[in-house]
Amino acid sequence: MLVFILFQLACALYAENLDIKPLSNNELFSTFNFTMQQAISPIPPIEYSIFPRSLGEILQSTMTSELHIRFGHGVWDSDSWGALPQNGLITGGSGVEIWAFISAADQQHALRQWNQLVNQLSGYFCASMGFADETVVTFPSMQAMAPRGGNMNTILMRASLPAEPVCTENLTPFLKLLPCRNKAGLSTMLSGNRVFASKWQTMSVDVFPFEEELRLEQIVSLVSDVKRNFTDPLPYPELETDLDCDSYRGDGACFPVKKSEVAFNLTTIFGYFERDLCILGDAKIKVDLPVGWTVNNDTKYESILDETIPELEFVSNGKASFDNLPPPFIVDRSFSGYGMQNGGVRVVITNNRPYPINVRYLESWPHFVKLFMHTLSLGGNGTIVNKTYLPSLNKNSAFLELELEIVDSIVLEFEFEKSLLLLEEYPPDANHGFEISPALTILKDGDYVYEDRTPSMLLPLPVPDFSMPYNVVILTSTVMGLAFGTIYNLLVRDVVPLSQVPVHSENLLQKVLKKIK
Amino acid sequence: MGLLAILLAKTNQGTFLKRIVGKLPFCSVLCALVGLFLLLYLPVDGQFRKTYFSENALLPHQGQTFFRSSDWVVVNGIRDEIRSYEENGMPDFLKVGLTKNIFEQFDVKVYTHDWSHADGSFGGTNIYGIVRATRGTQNEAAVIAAPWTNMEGRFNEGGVAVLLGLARHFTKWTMLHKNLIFVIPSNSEVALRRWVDAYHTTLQHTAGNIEGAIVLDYASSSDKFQHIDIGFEGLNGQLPNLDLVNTAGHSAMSEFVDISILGSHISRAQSYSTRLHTLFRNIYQQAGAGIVNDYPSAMFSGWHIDAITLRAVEGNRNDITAFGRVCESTFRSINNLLEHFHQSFFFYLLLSPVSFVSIAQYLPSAILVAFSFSLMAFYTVFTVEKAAINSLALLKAIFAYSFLVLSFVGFGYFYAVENMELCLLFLATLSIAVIAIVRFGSDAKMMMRIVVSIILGVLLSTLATINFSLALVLGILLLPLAFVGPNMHDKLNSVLLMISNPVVVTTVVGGEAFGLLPGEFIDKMVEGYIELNSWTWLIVCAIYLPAWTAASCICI
Repeated sequence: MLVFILFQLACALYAENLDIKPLSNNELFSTFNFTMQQAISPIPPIEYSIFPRSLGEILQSTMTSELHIRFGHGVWDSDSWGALPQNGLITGGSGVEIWAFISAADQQHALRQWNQLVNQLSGYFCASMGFADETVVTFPSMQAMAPRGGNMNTILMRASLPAEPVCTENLTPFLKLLPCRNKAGLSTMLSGNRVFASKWQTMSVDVFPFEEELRLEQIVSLVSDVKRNFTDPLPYPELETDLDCDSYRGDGACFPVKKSEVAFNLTTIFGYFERDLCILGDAKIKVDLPVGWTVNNDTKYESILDETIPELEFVSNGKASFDNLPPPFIVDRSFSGYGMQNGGVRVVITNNRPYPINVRYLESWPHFVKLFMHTLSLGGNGTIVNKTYLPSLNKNSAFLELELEIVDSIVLEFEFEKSLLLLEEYPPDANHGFEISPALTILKDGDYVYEDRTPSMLLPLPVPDFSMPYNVVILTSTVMGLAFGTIYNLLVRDVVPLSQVPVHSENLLQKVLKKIK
Repeated sequence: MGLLAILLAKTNQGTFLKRIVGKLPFCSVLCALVGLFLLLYLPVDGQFRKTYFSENALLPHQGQTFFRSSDWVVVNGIRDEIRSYEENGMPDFLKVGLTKNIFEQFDVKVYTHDWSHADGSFGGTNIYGIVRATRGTQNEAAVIAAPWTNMEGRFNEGGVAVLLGLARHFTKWTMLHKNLIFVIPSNSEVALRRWVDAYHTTLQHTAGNIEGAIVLDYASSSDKFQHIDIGFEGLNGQLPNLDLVNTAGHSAMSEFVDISILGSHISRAQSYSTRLHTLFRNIYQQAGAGIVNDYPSAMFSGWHIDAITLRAVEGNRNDITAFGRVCESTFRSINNLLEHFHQSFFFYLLLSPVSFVSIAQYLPSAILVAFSFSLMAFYTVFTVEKAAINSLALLKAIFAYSFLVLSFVGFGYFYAVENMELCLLFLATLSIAVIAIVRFGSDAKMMMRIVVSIILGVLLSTLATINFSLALVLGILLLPLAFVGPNMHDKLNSVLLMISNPVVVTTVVGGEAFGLLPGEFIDKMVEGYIELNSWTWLIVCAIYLPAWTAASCICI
């Protein structure tokens, strides 16, 4: 039995990587990369060793050849941090994003498989992925998002759920996919309260065929604020002696100056963690140090760990210089327009390269936003090479994919109209507004691919007064009552000219008296 | 139904209607008087309600406030710094650069926005910094703003210092849900208005929908202030949600800071006269919005943003960090919101910081004033000889009046945008309309009188539902016109037309209410329309001027 397990493990591969890089302004960028790879026999029953069986079975039952999931929150500050890590290929927009390549006969069949897939994943990752149904899902072109495993004979489907709050309950199932869970190895450094107190954070799960084997890559990237890790999470005022003041100031006045770069170690950033390694694979830590920083008194650090995770002491000489590569382009998207009925969108894409670039811009819009494609205008220096627009039908999302050639910067603008929903279609928090998925921009330049997502947007829709049905019932009843009274009166009464009105008839008392007489 | 049938029968006999019609002018005066009396009756105990929170999610002042102790030292240091910029008479671009630098000391992303006047001339540079929420979807934001100079043009020393102190303070927070935008516009009116416009149209660095805004005004170099005055009136009759005003008031009272409304009396000393005074302050601010003395929060109007101004009144009861704590607490309540402000009232008059009347209670007074015009229209209909009522005369009157209104609106618009050729053209069409009305026959003049009264009644009551105060003020100013007509006494006509004369009105209203010369008063209205998008000038052109012109023409 043991031999069999060892044999199984020999056929599988597991590796853990941690990349750390101090950024300017006392921020620290770190990426945890967990890779699992295993040969999967094409004939069932499949033997799973490293690769999580539960996930494997979901993929198997839904004929999914590739699956990509992103959880994200925060905004990447490219001004100070430069280009996105790994060219943005592991980054998600805010909320949850999911795309899959499914083997199916046609779109209808693929949709059925997809619904099954997202509903199972929904429970699996504790996220409302079940809401990624046919009203949200889009079918981007394979030119924009090619399968990593290279299987072109599939149907690509993508959905994003921008309103989904990402938090600890998504991290826990994420860590459970690992062979050592978070009991040993680098994953013990990931605790919910530290990960989600970061300025920017993304988690990704990618499953794809790789060299005849099945590969699972799980990545957590975050930018933490180093200063916050030294203080109470509650923002108590600091002691006067702890303030960093301009030296010219006197008593009772402190002109605050930038906090100098503080020294820290792994424990201050990630909290207390187990130092044992996961015996199932190699673990590697690599530190990318800017000039002026040292780790354990050395200017560079890269090591394959053998027994335990070492403590790393980061110290700066206070004169660190950062040279981050700027991203190839920057996308800004915002609403324009005035009032509740009409609106507009304004997208500015700036090319940071000295030569023209060719990008694809993808976005999807919910059915209650009626886009007017004839209002699409292009300003700045660039052209629209190709335009695909699938309007919303049957409450599906509208999908827009543009191929753009950008010289220096372009401004895309278009208008839309907001429609009223049916009363029961409004969510309980209708006045919150409706989240619009992040737009995805992809640059492909030979083998170089760079992806960037804008933040999601919040669209306020006209919301009816929900007590209105009650008021309407009351008003209608009143009007009906009045009308009924009038008509009833007209129907029942005799209309007689005044002159013909019979002269004063006897009243009841007189009648009774008459009878008695 | 029986009652109605009897009434109809009686009127058919002719006596009832005649008796009523004879009393209509009296009823009309009575109507207006009752309307005004209702207004005076509102501050009486039992007529108003105590304010309350409708939105449960606000949780006003439910947590400990943290802006204290060493933050005082920081605010002091920043204040010394910015005071030195002002005392050294530094040029604007240097001031902007150095203020930006202060934001950068706290690692706050800071951007600038160059704004220009409506005519395209350069106005100044606004500074704004964005503190991103750690936990949130990054598509909602709240604004804290402190104009460099306040609404009286004084250097907003404490306000800017507290804003910068708060910017530093909020970088320490890890549990914020909404992004925070700190704005320092170069002045409290046009600069802020341009920034708000730009945020929704052209600014590249934005942080999501603005759910609420707090403007800080602390124009004193003292470390102490007496109490906080809350300003909330917006342009064009818009008001922030009552919940926001309540939240600020509640937060202040929880910090033991007294509050007042629109420069009126503090909450603890309340009587009929103070409530009446506050009521008139509400009407004054709302009717005069976009002309002069606007609280800077009015500049957020029109973009679905609820905004208030916190104004420190000089004195020595509280220290400057209490002002910051009130702002902190109010922002945290906005931060707690899951939905946009929608629960509480959007139309109200505040009689004190803790008592209000809702639209159902105060609207009748403006509607009654407007109704007195309609009553006079009925009176004219019933009193003119039957022969005078013919459709041709009516059509003539309607056509002429529409022509007059269009001419005035065109004239007003092109006067405002300084297009003098078109302005003169509309002045020409205006004079044609005037000559045409003067040359009308007596029956058409009578019809014109009916048309003017009916239109005034309808327009004023419609306006009252949007901008109560402006409708009320216009209604009172135009009231004499209801009793002007060719069938009235000549002396009465001339006296009434004199009282409601545009020259007299601009002189009296401009001088008494705003302390402005008539020319300045008109300039301010035009400026409000052009720079701030306040509609008062166009409303005056579309309602007041044509009505008075038509009324005087038919009396000639």
